[in-house]
Amino acid sequence: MNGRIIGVILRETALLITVILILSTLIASSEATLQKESPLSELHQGKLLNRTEEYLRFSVDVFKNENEKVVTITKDNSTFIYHIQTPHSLFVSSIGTTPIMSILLTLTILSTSLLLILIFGTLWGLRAGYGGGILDRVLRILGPLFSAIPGWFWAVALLWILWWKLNVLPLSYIDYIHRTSVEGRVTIFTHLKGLALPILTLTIVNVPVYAMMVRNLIIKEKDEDYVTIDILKGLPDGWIERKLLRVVLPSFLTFTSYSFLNLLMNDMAVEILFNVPGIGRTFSVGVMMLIFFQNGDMLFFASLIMSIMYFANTSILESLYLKLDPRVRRDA
Amino acid sequence: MRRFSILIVAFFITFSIIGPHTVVEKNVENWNNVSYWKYNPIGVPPEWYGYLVGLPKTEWLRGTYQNGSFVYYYNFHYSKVPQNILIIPNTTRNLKIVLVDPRGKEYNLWNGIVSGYLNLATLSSSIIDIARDKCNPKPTWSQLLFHNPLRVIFSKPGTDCVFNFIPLKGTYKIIITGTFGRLNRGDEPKVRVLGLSYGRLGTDVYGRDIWTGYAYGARETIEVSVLGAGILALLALIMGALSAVATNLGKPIDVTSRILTSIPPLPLAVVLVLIFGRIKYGVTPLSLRININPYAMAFIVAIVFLGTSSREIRSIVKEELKKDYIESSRAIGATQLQIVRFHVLPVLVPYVVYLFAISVPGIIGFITLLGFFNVIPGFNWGTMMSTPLRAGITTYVPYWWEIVPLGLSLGLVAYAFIDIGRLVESKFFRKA
Repeated sequence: MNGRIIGVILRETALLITVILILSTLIASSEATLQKESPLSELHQGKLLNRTEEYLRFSVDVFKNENEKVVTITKDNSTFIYHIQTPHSLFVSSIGTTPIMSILLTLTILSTSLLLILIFGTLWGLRAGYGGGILDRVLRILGPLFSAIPGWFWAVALLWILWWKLNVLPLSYIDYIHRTSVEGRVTIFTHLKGLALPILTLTIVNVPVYAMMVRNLIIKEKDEDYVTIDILKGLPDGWIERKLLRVVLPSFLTFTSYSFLNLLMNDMAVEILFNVPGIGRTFSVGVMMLIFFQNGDMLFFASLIMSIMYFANTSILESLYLKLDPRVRRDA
Repeated sequence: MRRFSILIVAFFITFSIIGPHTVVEKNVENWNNVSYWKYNPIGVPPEWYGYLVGLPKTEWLRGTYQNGSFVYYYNFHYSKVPQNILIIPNTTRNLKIVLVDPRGKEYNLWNGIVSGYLNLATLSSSIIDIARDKCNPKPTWSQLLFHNPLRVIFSKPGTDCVFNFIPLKGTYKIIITGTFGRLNRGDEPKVRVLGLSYGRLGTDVYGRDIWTGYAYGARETIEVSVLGAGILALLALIMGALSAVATNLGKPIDVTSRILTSIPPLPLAVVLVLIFGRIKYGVTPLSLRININPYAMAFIVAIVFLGTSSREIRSIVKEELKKDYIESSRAIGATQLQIVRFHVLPVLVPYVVYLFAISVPGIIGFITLLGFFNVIPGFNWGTMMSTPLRAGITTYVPYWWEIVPLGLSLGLVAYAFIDIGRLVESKFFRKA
């Protein structure tokens, strides 16, 4: 079993490296296009490796806590002062927080939302799939609707209801933190309250989609003979539901793994909308830097973090899949 | 319900063809040029809504030439005053502007040179003079600034003009003449009433006509999403089927689809748009424009979603290849490609149609999402939605007339395509 898990991690690592190489090639090519050069010139093997190395160096240096360098040059009677930005100072000045904090913010939003989605999505899907009734009818309407309408639209709708109409939760994370820090009362709960709207948005948007998936899997499974036998034996519904859940969980994990990039994509938009200086904002600033300064360093950094998050998510879920699926366990 | 879904799809496809012809092309070209929209009211609802709740509409007043002066009549019958009234001269000569209220009382508003245009709501000394004559108690300028100074002009004499506004309804006359003599017929100034309602779908925070964004954006949005979904379905079918069979091509295609699944879609789409698009820089980041061929854009979105879709097809093919009748075919000597051609393909076709149907709304959502990151390829629904959002959440006002039509359209298109997809899916499962 452990050998299989190591195999999964090795495979995902190889994929991560390939993805990084592809992204660096594409970013370098777009830099070249914007500089009116031929994108093919960037595909030269040596140049490509150099550029990838530069991008990676920037992505590592961004974590080194170095302030901008001030260089003073005196020539004749004039003094010239140059402020040279380090990757870290560039990041802090353009994003408004440190890289670690930025990643932590995105991770908090993603992990909390994912946890809530998995809990509520599984419960709703299970009840709707096994018991039917009103829960199922509501889900059959909301599931397709929420999977089709983009997440940002629900974010705007929530924003309108929760902030403009009810004024219950802070709208802009960064403004809320700044305001609270003036009063000197910033705690972990302050951050969580500031992030409540983005988390709520992602959760509400995705719960029906995940619930629909569980429902479909349960409906497929509940017609199996072993379920009918359990019902005829008079076993309690809760017991049968737990059993069904155990059976459909591996497929659900695969779906969760594939859907992670979609969740990440919605998170990026939600961060922009609610002023969270996370990886979404970093990505947005990176795009602006690429377009206006023909510099893809920041965009590469944001893309790298996204790829690593996807890698971590896939590795964990696939390993869990190996642990949870009895067929795979027995084969091992 | 299925008929309703087909009707919705047909409606939006027709609208995407006809819609762009209902807008002024110049409005589209200047969509990101904020100063172009200066003669429009900011953030007002549609005219039909204004008609229902009694809001003044936005209009150009028609002038008549009378003895060297131009006279404009404004029929004010609302309970709220317009956002502003602009006088746009057509001469460099000094102008004298007089307002005559429905009682026949004359008020001098302006006497002097007008550079650019004259904004009546900012004429503080004239408005304070009118307030001295009409309002009880007389408001201060700062009080007026926090409300609309035009309330003084349109209020009933002897009332509180600011806090408890009571309108004086009737026809107002604006007389424009030259300070030093008569105006010629060719000097006709324009008078624009910036009402509290505008056009078919109102305006946004920059005063842009939302109908322009909606109707013109529909063409590219529908075109790219339908075309993109078609390319995606076709490529996913080829890639998914070939990766599942044990041919020389199978393994490399399988690896490619795995890689595509692992690349974050946003960075991939952004860099591909920048490589294949043409950037037109403006004075501000807002005026940046990315021109891209809709076919290239459709191909990009297809590539972005290809990984996951081809993996889904691959798993269907794998599942099918395990079945007994396939084993029998193999036993009688059928090759892998023959099995795919005669046994797997008939099973896959309905799924591909389903994939096409559910991809259309997904692609529309993705295109609009790109706007959040300043990458707006072409002119689509993302253009109209994301530009105000980019200005920052603290300045963003979620106007219902901006969100509801777009949200409703997205919802209807999504519902219709998913419903059609479900129809195909149910038939497919029944067959399977």
